[in-house]
Amino acid sequence: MSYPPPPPPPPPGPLNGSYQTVASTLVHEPEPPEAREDKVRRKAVLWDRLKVLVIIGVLFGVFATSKHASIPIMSWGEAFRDQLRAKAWLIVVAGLEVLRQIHYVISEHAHGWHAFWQHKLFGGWDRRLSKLNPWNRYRLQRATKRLLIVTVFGLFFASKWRVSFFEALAETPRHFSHTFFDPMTANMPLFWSLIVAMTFGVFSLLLMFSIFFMDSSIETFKPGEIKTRFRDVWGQDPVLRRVKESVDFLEKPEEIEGRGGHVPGGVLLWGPPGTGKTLMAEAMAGETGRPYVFVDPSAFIQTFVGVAPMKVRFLYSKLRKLSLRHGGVIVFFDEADSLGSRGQLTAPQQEASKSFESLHCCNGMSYVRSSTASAVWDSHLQSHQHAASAEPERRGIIMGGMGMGAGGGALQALLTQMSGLKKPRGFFSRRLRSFLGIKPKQPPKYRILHVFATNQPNALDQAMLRPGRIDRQYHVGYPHADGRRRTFEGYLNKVKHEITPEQVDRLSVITPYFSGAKIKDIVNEAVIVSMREGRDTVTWSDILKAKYHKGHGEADDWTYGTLEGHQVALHEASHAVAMYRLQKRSTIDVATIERRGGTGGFVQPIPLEERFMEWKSEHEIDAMTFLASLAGERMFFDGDNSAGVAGDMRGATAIVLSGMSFQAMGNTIASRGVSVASLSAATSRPEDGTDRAIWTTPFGELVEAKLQELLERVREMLVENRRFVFAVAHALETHKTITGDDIDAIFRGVPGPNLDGWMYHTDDFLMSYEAYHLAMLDAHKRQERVSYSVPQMSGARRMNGTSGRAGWTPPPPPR
Amino acid sequence: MPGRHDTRTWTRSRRRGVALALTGVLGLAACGSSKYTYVANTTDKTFMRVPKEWKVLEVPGATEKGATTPPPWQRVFDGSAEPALTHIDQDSPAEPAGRLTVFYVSASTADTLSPEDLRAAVSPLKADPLTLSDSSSKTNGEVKDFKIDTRDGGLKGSHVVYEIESGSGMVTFDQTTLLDPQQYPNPLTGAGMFKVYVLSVHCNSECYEKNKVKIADVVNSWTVTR
Repeated sequence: MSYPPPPPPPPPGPLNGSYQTVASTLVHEPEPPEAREDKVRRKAVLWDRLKVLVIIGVLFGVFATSKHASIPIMSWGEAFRDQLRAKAWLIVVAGLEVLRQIHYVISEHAHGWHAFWQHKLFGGWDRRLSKLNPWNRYRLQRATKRLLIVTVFGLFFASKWRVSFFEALAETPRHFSHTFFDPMTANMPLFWSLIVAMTFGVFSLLLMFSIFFMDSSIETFKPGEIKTRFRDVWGQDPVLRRVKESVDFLEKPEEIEGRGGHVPGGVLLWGPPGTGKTLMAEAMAGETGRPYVFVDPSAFIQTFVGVAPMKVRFLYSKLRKLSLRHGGVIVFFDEADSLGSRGQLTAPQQEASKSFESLHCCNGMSYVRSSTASAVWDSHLQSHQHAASAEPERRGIIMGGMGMGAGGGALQALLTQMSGLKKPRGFFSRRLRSFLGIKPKQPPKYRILHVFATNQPNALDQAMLRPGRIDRQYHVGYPHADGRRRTFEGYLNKVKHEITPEQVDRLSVITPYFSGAKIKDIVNEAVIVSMREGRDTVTWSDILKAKYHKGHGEADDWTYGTLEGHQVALHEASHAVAMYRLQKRSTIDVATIERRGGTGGFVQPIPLEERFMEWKSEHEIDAMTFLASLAGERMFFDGDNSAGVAGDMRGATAIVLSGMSFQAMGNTIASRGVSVASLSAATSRPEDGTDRAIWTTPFGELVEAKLQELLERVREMLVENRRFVFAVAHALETHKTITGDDIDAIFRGVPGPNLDGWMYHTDDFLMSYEAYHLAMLDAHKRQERVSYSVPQMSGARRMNGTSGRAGWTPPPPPR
Repeated sequence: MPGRHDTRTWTRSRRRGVALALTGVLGLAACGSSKYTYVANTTDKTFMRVPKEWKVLEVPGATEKGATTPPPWQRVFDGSAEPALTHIDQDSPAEPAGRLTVFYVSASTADTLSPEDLRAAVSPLKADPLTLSDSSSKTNGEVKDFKIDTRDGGLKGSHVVYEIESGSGMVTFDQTTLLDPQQYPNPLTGAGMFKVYVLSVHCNSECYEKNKVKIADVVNSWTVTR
């Protein structure tokens, strides 16, 4: 990506007065850094002036006292005089300190003197250094620091051993070796005591720290080591464009910095698991010419207090070096929620990450669109929260301990490091310059692009989310139909298959909210299914089986009794018919009466298009789909109904109550989400309409009346479609699980994947199944066990328009 | 921060006072230099000072093969303008030359070591210098001073000043010997051993007379502590 160069300044020339005025008003020149500096040095307090001299004096006193104590015949005066000679260097240092203080005093009063040192002398030095490449400058400073350390040690040992400086350097290894590792000398006690100390103390500490810092959890990849590219990320084009832009800024920082901006330093990729966040980060690493540092979520888990912040500082030291060396670096924090807490981010947008399956209605939450289900789920959650709030002490215990996030201090250290990249640091830039009275040198531009990935953005600390740390937040959601098609194509291209483009299109439709990882898993499962059946080519049937298996799991090893199987089949058939007739923006994926855990059976819809807004009419259809089970059971069992409708009633009630309370979908328009208390105190909990006492109020009666109205409407619809309810129920009793295409075949009287819909359009079927049902109804009323067989078709089967005739087995004998 | 507050509320004169005091201390300490060179043996706890113009020289010591006691500790001082270790071994040096020695004797030797033996052991006469007073003495010389030296910690010995004739004239010796009655462990054998302290200064008699005060100051400064 490239950007046009910054606009040139307006050309000088004979412009009219008004334009000149506008130009001079709009163009704002950046303030020169010198404008912020003091004219003279700030006055120092007395202690700051004297402290070095006092330290030197104290040091000298210690030396003299030591001499006086070691030689009893030496007087104090003699001891002082002796040390003046022996420690002449200390006097030299004191003299330099006096000169330094004189220089400061002059700088505090004379602007010219101060300006000369700061701008001419030190400033010129800085300007010359600034011409160096930042990495070379860093290496130069590092080498100088090491040289300084060697010099200090060399001088110290030269003085101690009374040899020359270079001899001291040459002799140091031998001396240390002699002292520490030669047990046959007089140093034996020291040697053994060191051995013991190393074994039980220093050595174990070193060992532990080496383990902590063995950074298997922090991996560095140099450019070219990662082969993933942006083209490998499918179905996330909008986010990918923005991510590419961030990488472009890192690659060509001068384009944004030339305009006075800065390279965004932090990107948050948040969204449900498996949507390609990590893959996207890997692609960034593969595409960029900068190093890539991968930080494992466990990197900052600490065994001992203080280790985690140390590791964070260690990491940033490494990042700064890499940034200087390579002109930039990308650091990726996977599962960033492990780092911090207290944050919040647009929780309502996380509907897709919620686990609806754990809400045990009789038929799960399958009859409605996911967003509607979300509302039901919220009401369910709130009822549980009320229950949980009755146990404050227990919750307190649970919330204790380590809490969320990485080890203590890691988050704080991370926040400090992220925003501390513009502070001067290091011995030369801070300590030495400060000691010499030189203004601190601004650090080089550490171009570190932080990429955080999480599926729990609300677990991140708010301080981390602020601009300057994380400048850009991208929702990596489930791919839309086009993205899913592209993802399916990508993974199918890696296997041998005979899936047609039309079938891939169909797959993209029937897999809403499927992540890239889930799609990959389905394709892989299809390969396994084909292998199990002895084929080397994946077929459409393999894909469907894999999808059902992955989507709904294995059914329980459970067989209904004849009567209960019939009852469950009619229950689900009522849902299916309501769904087929009413929900025109959805298609049925699968219907089943195979039991899975607490779910007796279900009908799974798939939205044909993904929508953001819902309407009252759609809510009513959703509620009617829920109510269809009650209407069907009462219709087919003479007003009786099972407890299995409880979950459906909860769903229908939540939809209607929510719509009427908050969304003006009833006879009133006032929102029940507003109360006087919520308006006067922002912290009070809004009235959410879940108060059970509502059913004794006129509003509660309105909700009940609405539910009754919808129940009657769906009942009428089922009466009109009695044949199809029987047909779907028969198919379910026969096959246990049928697809949406089978249901469509039933309604249209055409062949489906598992059955031929034509046979349900004959009068024989209706008569035979009606009689079968009456026998079941009779048994239900008598509370008897029965073992009737489901009516079966016999005779020719019409396939592909070929005419034929079907006969049905006779109904059970009347009692 | 009360401390900082106090600092800020100091008067200007008080600040000046502190600065001047500090400068004064350093200045006074810097004025002049020591008149002496100090000789210290912190292991054997013996100390001495010699005039600055005399040079103190180290005498390297090494454990000889088969030795049963550690090598002696020695420091030599030389009043010559061109100091050298050889001056101490000259019969009649023109400038004062001295040696402070700590040597070690085994317990059995110490048992039989009399003060006379000790004086004889360190004298160039190879005999007790006090015998110079005997009429039977064959050496031309005389004892100028003698006294028993007893010090804290039970150290006992003697101080003798005597003059003898050498090939190049008369030479004066100032010799002090002390035996430490405390037994110390021998680092080589682990057995017991005793320490003998010897301070000896000599030069020709003319030189001695000229440097008598300085030599006395050196001898008097010599300290052995426990």
